Amino acid sequence: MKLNKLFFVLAVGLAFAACNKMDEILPQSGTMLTKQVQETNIIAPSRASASFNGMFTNIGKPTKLANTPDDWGYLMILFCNDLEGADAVIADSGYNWFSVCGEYSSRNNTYRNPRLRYQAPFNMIGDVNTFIAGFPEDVTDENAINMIAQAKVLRAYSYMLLAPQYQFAPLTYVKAEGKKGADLPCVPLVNGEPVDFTHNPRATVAEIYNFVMEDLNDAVAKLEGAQERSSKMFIDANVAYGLRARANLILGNWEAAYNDAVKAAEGYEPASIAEVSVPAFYNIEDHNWIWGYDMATGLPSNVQSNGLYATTTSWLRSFSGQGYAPACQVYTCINSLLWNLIPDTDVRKGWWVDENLESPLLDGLKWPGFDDVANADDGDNKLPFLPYTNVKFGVFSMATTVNEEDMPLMRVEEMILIQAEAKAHTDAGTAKNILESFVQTYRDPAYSADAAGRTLLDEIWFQRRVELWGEGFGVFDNLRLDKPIVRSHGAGTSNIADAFRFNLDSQDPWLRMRFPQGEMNTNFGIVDNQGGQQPTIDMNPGLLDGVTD
Amino acid sequence: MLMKKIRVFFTAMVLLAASAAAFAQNISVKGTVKDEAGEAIVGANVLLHGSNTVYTMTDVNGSFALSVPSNGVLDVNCLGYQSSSVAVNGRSVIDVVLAVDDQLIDETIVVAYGTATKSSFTGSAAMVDSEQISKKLSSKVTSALAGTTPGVQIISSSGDPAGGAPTIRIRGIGSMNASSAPLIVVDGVPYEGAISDINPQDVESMSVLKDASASAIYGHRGANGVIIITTKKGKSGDAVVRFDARVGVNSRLIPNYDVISDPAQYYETYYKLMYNKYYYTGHTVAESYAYADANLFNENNGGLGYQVYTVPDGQKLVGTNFKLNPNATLGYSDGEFYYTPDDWYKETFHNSIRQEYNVSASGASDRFNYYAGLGYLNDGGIVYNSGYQRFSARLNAEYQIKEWIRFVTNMSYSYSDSNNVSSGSWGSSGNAFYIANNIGPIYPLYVRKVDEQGNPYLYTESGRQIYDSNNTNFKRPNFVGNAIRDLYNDVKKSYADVLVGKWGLVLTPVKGLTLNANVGLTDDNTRYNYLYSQFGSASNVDGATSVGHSRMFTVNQQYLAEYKFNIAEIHHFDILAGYEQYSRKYQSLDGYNDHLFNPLVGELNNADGTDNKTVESYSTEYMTQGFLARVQYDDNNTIFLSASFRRDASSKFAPGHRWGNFGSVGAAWVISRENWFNAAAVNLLKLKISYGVQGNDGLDGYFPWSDQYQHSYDGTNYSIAMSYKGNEDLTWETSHSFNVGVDFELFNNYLNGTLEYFNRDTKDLLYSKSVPLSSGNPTGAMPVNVGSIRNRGVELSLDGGIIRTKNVQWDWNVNLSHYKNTILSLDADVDPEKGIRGGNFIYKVGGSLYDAYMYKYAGVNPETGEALYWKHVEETDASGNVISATDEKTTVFSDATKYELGSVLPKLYGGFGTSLNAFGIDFSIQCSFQLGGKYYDGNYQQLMWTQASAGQAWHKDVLNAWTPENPNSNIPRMDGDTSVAQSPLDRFFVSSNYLSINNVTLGYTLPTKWTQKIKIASLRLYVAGENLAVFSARKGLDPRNAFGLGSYTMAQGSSSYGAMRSITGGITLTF
Repeated sequence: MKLNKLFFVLAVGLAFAACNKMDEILPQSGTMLTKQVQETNIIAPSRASASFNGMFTNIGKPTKLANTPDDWGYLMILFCNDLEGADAVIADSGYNWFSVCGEYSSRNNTYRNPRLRYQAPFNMIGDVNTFIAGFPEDVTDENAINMIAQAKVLRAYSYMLLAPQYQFAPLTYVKAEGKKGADLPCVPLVNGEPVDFTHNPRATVAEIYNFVMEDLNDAVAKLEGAQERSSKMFIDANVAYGLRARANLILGNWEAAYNDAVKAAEGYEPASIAEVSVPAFYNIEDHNWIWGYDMATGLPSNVQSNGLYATTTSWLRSFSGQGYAPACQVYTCINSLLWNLIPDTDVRKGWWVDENLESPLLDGLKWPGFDDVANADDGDNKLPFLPYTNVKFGVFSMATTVNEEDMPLMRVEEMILIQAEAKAHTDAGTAKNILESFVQTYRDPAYSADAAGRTLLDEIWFQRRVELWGEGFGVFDNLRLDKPIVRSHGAGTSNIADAFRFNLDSQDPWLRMRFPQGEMNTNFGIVDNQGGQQPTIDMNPGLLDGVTD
Repeated sequence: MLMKKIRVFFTAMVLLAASAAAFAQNISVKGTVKDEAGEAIVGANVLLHGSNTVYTMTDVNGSFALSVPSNGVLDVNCLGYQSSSVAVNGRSVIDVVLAVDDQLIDETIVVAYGTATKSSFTGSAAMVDSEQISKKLSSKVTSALAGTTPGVQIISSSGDPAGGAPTIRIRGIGSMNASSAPLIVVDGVPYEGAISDINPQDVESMSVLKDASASAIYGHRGANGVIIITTKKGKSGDAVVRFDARVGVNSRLIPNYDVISDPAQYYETYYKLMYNKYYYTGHTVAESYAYADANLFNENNGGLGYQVYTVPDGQKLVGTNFKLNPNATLGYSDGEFYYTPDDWYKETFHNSIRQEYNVSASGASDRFNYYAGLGYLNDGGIVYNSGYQRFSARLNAEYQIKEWIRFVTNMSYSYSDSNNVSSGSWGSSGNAFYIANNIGPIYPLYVRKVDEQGNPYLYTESGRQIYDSNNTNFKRPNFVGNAIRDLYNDVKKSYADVLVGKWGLVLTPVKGLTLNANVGLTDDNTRYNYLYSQFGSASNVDGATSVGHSRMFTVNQQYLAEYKFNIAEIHHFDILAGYEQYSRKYQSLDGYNDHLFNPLVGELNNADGTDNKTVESYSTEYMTQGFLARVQYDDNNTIFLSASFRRDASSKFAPGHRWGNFGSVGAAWVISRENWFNAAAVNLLKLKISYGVQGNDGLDGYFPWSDQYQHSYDGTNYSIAMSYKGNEDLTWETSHSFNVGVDFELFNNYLNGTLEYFNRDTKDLLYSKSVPLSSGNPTGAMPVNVGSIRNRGVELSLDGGIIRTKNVQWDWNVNLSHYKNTILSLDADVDPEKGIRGGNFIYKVGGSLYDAYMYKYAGVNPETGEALYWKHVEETDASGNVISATDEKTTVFSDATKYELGSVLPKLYGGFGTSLNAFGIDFSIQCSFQLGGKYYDGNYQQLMWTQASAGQAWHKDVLNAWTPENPNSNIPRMDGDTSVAQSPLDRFFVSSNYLSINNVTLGYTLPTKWTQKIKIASLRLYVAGENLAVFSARKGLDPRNAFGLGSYTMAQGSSSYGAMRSITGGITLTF
């Protein structure tokens, strides 16, 4: 019986010891629990700003939903905008993960692509709200005020990515609904105030933009005169002005748009002809970038999730040694309908190879083991370019297997084009001067705004389509301008794959995304978008957009 | 059983002392031991009463001879018979007749923390014995459960000998988002290693505990049933040495779907599709032909890429009649390369050798009992560089140190060396299975060039075969690289050292009391070296290697006290109490680098790259502990009562939410032992009933109770972002099980059976609650305890004999199970009308976890050949009330509606088998089946594509697609389907009925009188076939891959390794 007692004491003792041990079990890894984060912030105060940085990292990071080669955060949304527009083309083959954009099958409740495009901005909005809520409302610390302002800009930017996907632009008079876009339902508004997420109906487009302007106005005020940011991946007054310029343009506040674009451009110089006579747009340090994504920030977690295939370099850049585009010949090409209209005197004509895979931008470039980059074919990781493949976007080193190229989010060139567009509504003469001065100085010395015979506004749009190609403005511009998506004038008129060859009316209800099943299941306030159907080959052959007619 | 032996031993000692005084002269005695029918009993022990050393065993004729004192007493015993003691009384010939012992053949079942006889057990359990296990040709011991145990479903998504274990579900799907896997206990210790690290030849038995009465004492993780694996022990008597060798062939079991294999037919069909794509979008006939002609070989514009026929100049490959040009000849040269299709399937799959050798020795004496086994298995794969080798060793020993203390140890070590290949549920270019099953029949596998005379030859470089990886002048529109090439060049090795040990002390300080302390551990060290060849997928980085090591270390401590006593030999009590603690530590270290100097060595020191180096490591821990108690009582072996209680804590929950209380009560009544019961035909009739509560903490993550964050560094700044939203209030999911059943044995065991009814309600489900994506939750979900489900069903298991004579024994068995899964309640936030909708399923109160929610196909529009879908249209009045609802057909897929299509689970599943032993020949067959369910055949859907999958194989059914000449087809026109490939359509449901022949064994045991001459106790020769055939609704379909809903975005079967058939011949020798 003694043994029995001993046994009992032993068991109880062990139990207590075990209980304490259980409390000490914490992950020892790249994942941390809340209490470890708090502990770290006390021991190493420098880590406290990491959650602020984390929001910026998320711009180019997988959402953690899919872990597939098409999951790369905001940068993927931007890429889809181009592919759903008229000017960016990827081959119709089994390697094209973005054929859902080319063929417009992305209007689907259960597809991954639309879900990623919905989830990434709302994750960011959630992070921003949590971040802001961590400060007292009357915070006086200058640094804190600055960070809150930046966070608000991120929130505004997130809504600016969401709104055009789910509803027509505020100024568009939507014939089928008999209302202006501003008055139609957009996406649920999550503004940091307490909200019942399960009954959070779609706010109107006007309400969304009101909130966007509120955030941007506040941010502009707080960021004006603030200390210089440590990297162009963060946000300063210029970025806030630039986004407000974009918003004002969408809302038709022409004067304000012009003024904001001027403020945003202050201190920045467009890239020179020489600078864009070689593949470029890969380094956040470039003097013409106002805001960009520093790929090195997001890459570590990206690599863990997807390898290197879920990056802009993999898909958009034709010089990656470890990219989808070069390995599978799913290069992002320009629609020849647009390319053919670029004057030969314009340096940008060379941003894409011609039908014979030639471009002056390739002079002197070599692919390892091959003399000719365009035709280099190792069978596995680099296949020959296709006609009109872009060489606009360069890489740090040819055939890179690192894929750490940065991505521009706002360039001074865009701000100049916004100035021109805003002025075109109020003062055409000034607008034309701005436009011609920019293009002649930096792109095409022989340029004349009248040469192509387009209206001034269409000419500005043409310049945007060429200059900003591949940077995510594609279909958003069509929607903003209420312009049809014109991909071809019929068979043989363009290089777009047959399956993607159709035109869409600017108010085709199919242009509005459908809400993901996950949202519909749990947010009972949502009434989904309806109408339209997946386009068919050569649909609407007669549509014209004023630019590529 | 052991207690009884010890008691016999003590009794014998006492008797020995008493008889020591009486000395008598030894005489020679011989005789026979026979049963009541006069048949000789082989192997009966004949022992001089009171002696340790004077004993013998009867031979094959039942004869024995022994020298004993003339006044001695012979104890004669044999398992299955009542023992008999016979006084010698000076006789020299003694014939003994033994009566069959009903009590003794009462089957012993291994149950939680001990054993029970079948008649005394109040719970529900099923056993598989070593004989059945050793017949199986599988490295995974749990595969022996398929078809043999009622209530158990086995799903094998992979036949990879180096791959994962089959998924086991006991009595349905017990949880929504937490684990539904049973707890596996090996020799009393929870086991989390790979199931293939246990050598099935070392296993004595497997028990499946199905109800709460049986497993509630395991508390946590017992909710989904428990599988108790018991390894072998020595048996008393002479040492037995057993040697078994088997050699055979592994081959692919399930053939491919019936795909178009004729390249001409494939081109014709594709041409037709391209034509239709144009013609039916408003283009002219001429434009449509022109488009198809222009793009048939243009892989970047929806074409096929490859031309493998030569056609005379100026002629087209496919004519306007959609037939191949009769002048076309197979094979095409562009001057540099020669193109002709290869049979990828044939080139990829091959048969391989399976070899297995096992030797064991076991024995027992008064104080020492041991089993030692050594095994070697080489299980070949059905594709190159795939296979599994295992060396295993086991030593189980027990030593009675003192009268009151015994030392028990079970140790096994296994070393495995695997070649891994990429497979899975995803179709991907890197997956050789997917490619071999799904590539169109026009593509070459190898690069061929033409010599100066224009003759084609297989092209090699530095002696290496060069595979077609889009490296010729043609490109495929699908399937980047060449996964078949990578099978040869990429070598993915993994090595595992697994030590599983248990050390225990059993103390018996006073009569009836047993104290038991033991420590069990698993130490699993796995190292992998993956080489990605520069001659293959990693050419861009000059070859790459990924090397990693993981270590899983688990410790289980048990302290148990058991006290058995009785009152007046009628009321028996057995009380157990104890404490158990389990902890697991998992550690991982991985590295990657590229630029391999030596292309053949996959080690980091051979990798000289600088840009892409990565090193990663992490550790994580899990722990549970609990107190347990059990009382068992029986009233004269007739009425049995049991009750158990367990209080458990798990580290998966936050402090304050960790502890849960579980327990059970059960009763059994052996009616056939009642005095008043008098039915000669009934050997056993027992009723049993039980109820209990068990816990489940089986969520995937280690720390679901806390929010989680991930961080990174870019050289300047640290970043951190939330990666997981946890829930501090999270606690145990509990399942409440009720079981009632009857066990019976009739007509001297010619008909035995068990019929059971069960009801299991799982409450406070560990549920990954979807939250609106707009709430910003990083995963779109958080864990909560909400909702409840029910699994309710009946199980029937029958076995018995047909012929039982001395030379012929013919037995049979059958088991049937039925259950229904019902959702009882869901999260209050869920709209009860809408339920929770997934891509292809719907959860609604009253429905099941496997209710399909899909688009409904409405046939083909006979005018246009377009697919039709059902669309639900509701009209509402001003206040939103539905005033009319109709279903219409539409060709616009985006207008189609998803419908609730009910449960896809089978109505009935089970197994049956028979075994025959006659004149030394043994034959057995074991089958399993399921009936009445549905399976979503995603593979078939992929093979029936009409859009956007250029270059992929087609099922022959597409040849019957709608055409103006074939207007009544139920298959839409090529390109006439507006649905998108990755949508769930009820059209692709198929019956999940199957019948599989799991095992057939034929053996012959040589007569003992021959073998004894060469000192061999027994010699058996056999052939065995494992996984011999599966009959399903469609060629190529293996419904055992998944529960019914399958997947519409994954090619479940065709991208997984696929089941293997093994046929071996073997020899078993015992000395």
